[in-house]
Amino acid sequence: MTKPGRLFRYRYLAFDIVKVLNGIPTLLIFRPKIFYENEKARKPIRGGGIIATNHKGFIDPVKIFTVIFYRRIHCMARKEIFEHSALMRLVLRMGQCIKVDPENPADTSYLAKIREYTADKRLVAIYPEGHIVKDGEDMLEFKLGTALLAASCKVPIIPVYIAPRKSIWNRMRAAIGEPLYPYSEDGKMLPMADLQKVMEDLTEKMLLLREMTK
Amino acid sequence: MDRSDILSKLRDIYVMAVPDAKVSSENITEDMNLLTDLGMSSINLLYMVIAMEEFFDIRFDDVSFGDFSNVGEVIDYIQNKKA
Repeated sequence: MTKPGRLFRYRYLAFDIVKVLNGIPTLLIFRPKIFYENEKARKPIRGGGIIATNHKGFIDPVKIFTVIFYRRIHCMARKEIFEHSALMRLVLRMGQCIKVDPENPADTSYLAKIREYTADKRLVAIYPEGHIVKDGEDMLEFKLGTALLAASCKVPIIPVYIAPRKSIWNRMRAAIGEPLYPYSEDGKMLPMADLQKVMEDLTEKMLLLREMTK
Repeated sequence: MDRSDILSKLRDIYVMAVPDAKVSSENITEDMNLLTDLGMSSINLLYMVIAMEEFFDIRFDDVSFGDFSNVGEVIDYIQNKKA
């Protein structure tokens, strides 16, 4: 296991190059205006965590990098996206994205990767809705997998809502919520019914964050 | 840890994983299929994996849950890991 907390490591060289090359222009393009649910949410995000965010399009991973630009964030991507083209595969590998195969629920190999990243004090972005939701459509029901993955890694869920821009001239508006902890105080697994409650709280929080960005 | 202890613990985990279970946990036997007999969804399976790892202090790192056809095979795997 590598030592966590170091600013530079060779294993992230490609990742950091992509991040910097991509980050500077996207920060200028999106010029994010960030709102916070409360003072706890305003504190810089430290350590491992699961970022739960809404899914509006394929550019969302770039947007999340601009909202939390000071951290390394890894995204989860469906197996089909990895198989889309050689260029896409290269970009996803450089970004150290995590491959998921929703058609094969028994395959939990992605779990090891998420654990590795969060144990190394990195962030993993998850879209709890599971699908892209177009502008004007309501948020979909959040899937329980987000709470389960965070419970498995013993890391908090950090809710982030990114509002669609009205035009390219508008700043991107995003809101960050107070983290949710889907495990008991002594770090034990909660029953499924309690995890469902955590996801209900997450849904409420996301709706609140959406209102804040209006 | 003998097989009956592991099965007993699996029954407890099943109760936590499937709040609206169709099968009573006392009726779970080693020859039951996880998907068809116990009626577990993908999210229930994921919960089972995570909870079993925590309770038995093992990692399901070299297998997919699809490799197990019944409860008995899961018990075999846990026993091998704990050996």
